[in-house]
Amino acid sequence: MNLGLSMSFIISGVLILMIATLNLRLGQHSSDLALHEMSKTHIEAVYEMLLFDFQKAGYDIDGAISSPIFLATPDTIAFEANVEADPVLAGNPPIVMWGYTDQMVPGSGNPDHRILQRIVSSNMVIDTPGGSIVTGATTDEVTNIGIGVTRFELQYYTAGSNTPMTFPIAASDMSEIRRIEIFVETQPREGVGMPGGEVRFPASQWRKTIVPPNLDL
Amino acid sequence: MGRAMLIIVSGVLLSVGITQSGLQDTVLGLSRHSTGYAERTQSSNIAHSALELTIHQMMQDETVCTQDGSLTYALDEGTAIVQFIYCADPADEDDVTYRLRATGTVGDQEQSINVTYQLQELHFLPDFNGAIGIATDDFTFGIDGASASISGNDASMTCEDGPGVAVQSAEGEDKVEGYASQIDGDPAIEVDPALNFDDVTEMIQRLEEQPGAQFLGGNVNEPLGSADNPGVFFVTSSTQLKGGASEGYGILVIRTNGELEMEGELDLGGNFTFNGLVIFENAFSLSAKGTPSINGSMLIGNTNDIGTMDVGISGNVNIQYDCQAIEYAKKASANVNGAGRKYTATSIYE
Repeated sequence: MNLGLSMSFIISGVLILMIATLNLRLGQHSSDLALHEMSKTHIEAVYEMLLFDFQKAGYDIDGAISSPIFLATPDTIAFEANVEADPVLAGNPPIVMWGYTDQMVPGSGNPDHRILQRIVSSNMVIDTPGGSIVTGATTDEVTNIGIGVTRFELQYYTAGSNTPMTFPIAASDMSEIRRIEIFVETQPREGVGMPGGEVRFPASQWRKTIVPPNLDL
Repeated sequence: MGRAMLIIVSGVLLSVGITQSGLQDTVLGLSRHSTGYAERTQSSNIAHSALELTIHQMMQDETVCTQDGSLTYALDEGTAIVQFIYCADPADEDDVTYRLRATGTVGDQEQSINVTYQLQELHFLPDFNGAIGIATDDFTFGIDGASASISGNDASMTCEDGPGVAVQSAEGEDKVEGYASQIDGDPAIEVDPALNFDDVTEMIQRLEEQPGAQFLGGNVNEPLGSADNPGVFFVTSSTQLKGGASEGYGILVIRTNGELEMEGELDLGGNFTFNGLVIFENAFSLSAKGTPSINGSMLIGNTNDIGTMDVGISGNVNIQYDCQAIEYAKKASANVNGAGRKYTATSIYE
């Protein structure tokens, strides 16, 4: 056999093997990246909503609300805010409540997924400090966010302090809250299969300290 | 054979090229995301900056705010537009509301902020609501004359009643208690540990440096300010108010002479009425031959070790808390301050 021809086949064979391996790895990386992007997209959707609401804590059209936060736990917060700047609600702003529930997300392949709940209601009555809802909100006032939140944690700070307030926060101290640190982690519904049968869920995390301007007015 | 190799190598290069292109797209996507986030933050920042610039302009000239008008700023490679949604009606004294919307744009990112402001007159007045506040424990107290009266009940009936006499401690309360029958208020005598003369001292120092402050001495025979134009008056030496000075509006400070450390005196005659805030700093000598009145509040305190202050009220002096008269003091403070205006944000929608 021609030596040159043999060498060519060997080289091309090696090249094809290298490309195949590269493609396989890139494929894995791409699906990992795609899942990561998916959880990042989820986290963006969540933080847009969180930013929208939390920035407006204590806002009302005719002036900031005095002591608007009345429930502040590590995973639930409730405050008064006219989040849509609705003139009809001026002077009687609705309650905005964010809480991480124990409810599983239907249809999710990720066992750590739980429902993050947003309620904006003028009818709701909340029993503090426990946080149980005495009078419920109507269905259309409740938004269940089931797009892959696996952690939702809140920390509260007073003005000028870098040490988080300790839980439970007394009702009389709620008016001292000036900053709220939010930590959110999302994961995709489906994971990436790893060697050994393990399934990995690439996570995206978002941490931000929000200073609602109306708390300081 | 050479042709076969050429085809294989071309295929390999094409495959690597496609892979490379895919990777570039991913990197580009990540860069776009980061840039968008930065531009959004930047547009929010320039919207805030534009609001501050607008408020600064309004402090210089309130007519900058015109209904449905707008101002445009070029800031940090972006543009900010401030729209005047609502401007207070200058003809209506009670209308002090301003609503502004600032929109910052950087790249293709846009952020808006709506802010409601209340116009307030800039003053340095301490927060005291009552007839007399004595911000020291080192004093004696006496009312010489059955006709003298002190009342913390708000004469204008528009505010909550305050104390007739507020003192810093129970020790001070003991000194005043013997005269409780001549003192009205809610309560007649109040112990207020927060009563502090430091704020008053700071206010006096600021007012004293303003060009509008007036220094009295000797015989004064003309009114001390007016309801429309209240003033800030300092008494640092013996001063006698004559018949022409039948009334006064604003802030009246009676203090020691800084160089001689002698007590200033205010000799009130006739039916003089002062509407506003009267402050005795390191001094108290109030004698009245007629039936003078002080409508507003009176604060007494010391800033250096002058020994015991003798707080003695003689004659037919009437010291009456009046929260509306305190407005003259605020106006006077704002008048001498020059700028006299501040816009306080009362709600921010972001």
